[in-house]
Amino acid sequence: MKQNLSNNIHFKRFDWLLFLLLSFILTIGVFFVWSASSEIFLFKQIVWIVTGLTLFFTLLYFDYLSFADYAYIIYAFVLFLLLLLLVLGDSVKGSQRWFSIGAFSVQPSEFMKIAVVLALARFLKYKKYALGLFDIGISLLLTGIPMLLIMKQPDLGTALIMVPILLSILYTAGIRLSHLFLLVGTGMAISPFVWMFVLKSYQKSRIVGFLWPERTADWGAGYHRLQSLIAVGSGGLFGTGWGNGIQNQMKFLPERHTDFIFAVIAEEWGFLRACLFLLLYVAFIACGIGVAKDTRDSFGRLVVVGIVTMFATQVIVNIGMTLGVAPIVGVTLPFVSYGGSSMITSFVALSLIFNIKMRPMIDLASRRFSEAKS
Amino acid sequence: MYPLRFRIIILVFILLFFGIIVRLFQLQVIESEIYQGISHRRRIATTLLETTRGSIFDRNGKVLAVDQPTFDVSVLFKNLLHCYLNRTEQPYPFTSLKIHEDEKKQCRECRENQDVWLERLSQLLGIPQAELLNNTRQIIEKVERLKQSVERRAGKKVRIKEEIDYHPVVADIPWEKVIQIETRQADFPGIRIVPRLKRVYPEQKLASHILGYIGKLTMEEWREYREAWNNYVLASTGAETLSLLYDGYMENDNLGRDGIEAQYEEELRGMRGKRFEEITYKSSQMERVIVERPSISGNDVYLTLDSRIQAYAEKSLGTHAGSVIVVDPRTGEILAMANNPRFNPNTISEDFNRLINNPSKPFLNRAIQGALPPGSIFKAITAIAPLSSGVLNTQTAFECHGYVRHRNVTLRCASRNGHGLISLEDAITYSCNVFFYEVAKAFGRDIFYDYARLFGIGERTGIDLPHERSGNMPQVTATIPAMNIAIGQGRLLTTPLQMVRVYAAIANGGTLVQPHVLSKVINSQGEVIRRFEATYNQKLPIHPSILNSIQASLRDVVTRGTARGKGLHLYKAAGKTGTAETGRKGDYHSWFVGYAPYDNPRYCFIVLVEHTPKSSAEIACPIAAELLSYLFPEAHRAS
Ligand SMILES: [Zn+2]
Ligand SMILES: [Zn+2]
Repeated sequence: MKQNLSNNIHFKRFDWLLFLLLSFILTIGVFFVWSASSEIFLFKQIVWIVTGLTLFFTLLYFDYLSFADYAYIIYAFVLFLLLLLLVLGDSVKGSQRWFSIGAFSVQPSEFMKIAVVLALARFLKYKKYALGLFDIGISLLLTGIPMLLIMKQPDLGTALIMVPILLSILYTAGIRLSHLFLLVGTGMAISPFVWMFVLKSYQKSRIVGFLWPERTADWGAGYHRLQSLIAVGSGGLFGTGWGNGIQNQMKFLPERHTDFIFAVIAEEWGFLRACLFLLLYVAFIACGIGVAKDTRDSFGRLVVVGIVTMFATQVIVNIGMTLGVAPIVGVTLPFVSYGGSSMITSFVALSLIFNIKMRPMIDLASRRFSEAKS
Repeated sequence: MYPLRFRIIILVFILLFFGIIVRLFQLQVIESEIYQGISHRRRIATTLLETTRGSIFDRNGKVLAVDQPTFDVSVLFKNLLHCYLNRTEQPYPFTSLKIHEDEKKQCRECRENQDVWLERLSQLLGIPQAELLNNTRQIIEKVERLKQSVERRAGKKVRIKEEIDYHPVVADIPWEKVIQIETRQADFPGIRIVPRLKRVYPEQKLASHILGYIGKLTMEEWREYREAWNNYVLASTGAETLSLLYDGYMENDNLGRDGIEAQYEEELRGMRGKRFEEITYKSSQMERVIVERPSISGNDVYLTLDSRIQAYAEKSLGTHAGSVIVVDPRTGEILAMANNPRFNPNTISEDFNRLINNPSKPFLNRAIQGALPPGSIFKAITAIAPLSSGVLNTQTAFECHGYVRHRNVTLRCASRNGHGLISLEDAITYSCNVFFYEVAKAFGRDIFYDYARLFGIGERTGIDLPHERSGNMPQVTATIPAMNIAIGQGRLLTTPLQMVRVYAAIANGGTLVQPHVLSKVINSQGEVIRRFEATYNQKLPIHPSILNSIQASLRDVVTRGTARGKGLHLYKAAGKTGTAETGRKGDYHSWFVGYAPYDNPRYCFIVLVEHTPKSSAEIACPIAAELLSYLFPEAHRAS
């Protein structure tokens, strides 16, 4: 039964609005990566986008419920890769976040975000209406173990994104509000221990630098923050025009084409157009939540919520970072920042949303199937 | 379903985005002037200065790798612009870069004189004019973009540094051409030769697997290194301040990718100098240097390698796929480590894709990465194990009929008709398989395991080269596999380096030495800052009398055993032949491992030739004899 339905791809239900928003975001991103770097990066970025799009459309051909079947296997596999990295990491100078396969490098921590979403959704799929403390505990473990491994890498940004993902999935799955508050409270209570035992000293100093900027000099994370604020601030209402940002072109702003790409957009486009750009993301996220709301299959719903939360958090933290209202933790701006791993992960995640939107009947079919079985 | 909860999630996100827009409004509209003020202020720009990578020398001080100056051709921007505008017939211009008034008034010849460099350069270097013109266009566009952005910010016309500077047009030109350009300055108006450093391996393919090669740092790796650097600085000082003074790599820097270049990267790389300059917004030009910290060159690395022996070892290997190692059995110093096929590290950037896809695997350092069955050369261990555990003495003999049967399986000796009643000493000398089958059958299945592990089989030797493999020492539970392992077959896999170390231990009286290629590190002032120190040199618990009798058998191999008549006896050598089956008929790995002189070993060596149709005596022994003729020239002449 599942087979029949999965062969029937519902391209009529392809989310054109979401795709249009994506195209705007991608186009703007490409132009600013160009402005912030060079033709070589532009070319590579386009190659990544084409690769991502190919992957995106390829994945649409697979029934998303098969991701439910393999959710734990995918999770275990990516977790294994992370562990492997930690073991291998010692032999390489410093830390190690990716595997190199020829010219490509694979960053398992990026894929872990999707794997966690899938595993949580799979686990909480049948738990609706009665989320017990046990369910919450297992969900915490599913999220916490990879989080600790990723923090050890060390990649604070990617690890922290897991928190809102977990909270929004639990919230959608029907956690009691008292439990939710208990969870958040406990998290706050144990954070000093994380601070003491898990975080590296430079990560601590970045957070200190964010909370008390006057304690750090104009250098280091403080330097990043200041250069970014100057870039955004000198953009003014109308911006300096594409390719004309002095912070950008004079190379005062570090990591211009990756983590701080929004500062370039803000400098060269100014407040009005930067706001329009932000609204594209708002619409994108709202559309995403819309897909979740219309989906009747609880696995699909939880996956969409998890992924949309992932995008939203990345956007908010990344932009917050360039505006000096979030600590500098190395989070990319989805579909805009230069880089292969981030682009590919974003496209894989996005294809799940489209997939779920395109197969609305499958949940009914499978529900009928499982009802018939029990 | 909780429809309300979706609304709340959306609400949370929208609130957060609203917060961001408020903050953006604050920065870009309310406080905009402050930040514009800062961006107009005097700023400090830092520039990293070049440094020299350390050289690599062999034990006699011969240069194996060095940073050599190479030369780029740079052209004055004015000449680039003139040339481009004249040739593209866009007299006034697609660009905002205006030619100065007085230049406009120049006579025709003068103007033409400014673009003759293109034709002449193209002629001299054999580069098509179109290519030079294309490079020119790219430079002009880059400068134009920079200028526009500066002018727009300044609100008036300015002249930027790049407009009056030289720009590199052709990279890496040969020395003869440099001289020709330098001596014919008048023919090349506005051209300057700019020196740059390039890694050169003067001996070409010699020891390419040991030296390794260098390659560009990718952006992702660069970010990672910088992060690690921050981490390190903060761990040691606790101060965020220092992280901006990052002294490590720049994007696109070179770093060691394999071999010694990778292994001793930290020693070789040196430290870039740094210049702090004041930049004023108005001119976008450097106003004055505030402070400059000079570069520190990388340290020089001296290897234990003797490039003469290395060259000879490579030559004696000929076109065979395989490897030859020569090691000092007393110290573990590697004197030669030859592999075939090899690659040329000088041209690696062009050849890389071709080499990596080559089925004969030219990047493989077979001496430490090729794990193969050792065949009969493993019998030294199969002999030492039962002798040391006391289940056998040197006079114990078994009857060899040419084969052994065990549960319907027939295992054969090399000698079809059998060796007759044969003692342990002779079993090594004549490489009798049956003797060792019988030992395995009679004295237990894993009698060899502990001793093989003791000799380091199945473990990395810890040589100071990257990507060493450990091979495989299987622990078997059945008799047939044990019998196979006894003669160095089955699932047993060893690297040539592991086996040469075993024989070095036999030769030196029972010390398992740590093989190494580093001798010492010398800094740019010429001081020795580090010598290689073995982390282990382990005395094996084997009785001297046992080693003596094994040594005697190994000497007999050369004088009257399987390696007789190959010329090895001339150099007072002792050793063991090995012909390992590969599972295919008529396809063997041919080994010879030994040392010389047998009474006072100075060299221990191993020869491996992969996939040959013939036995060890035919292939590996002559190569070993040729190598020895080089190591002991007197003996060679005497014969
Ligand atoms: Zn025999
Ligand atoms: Zn083979």
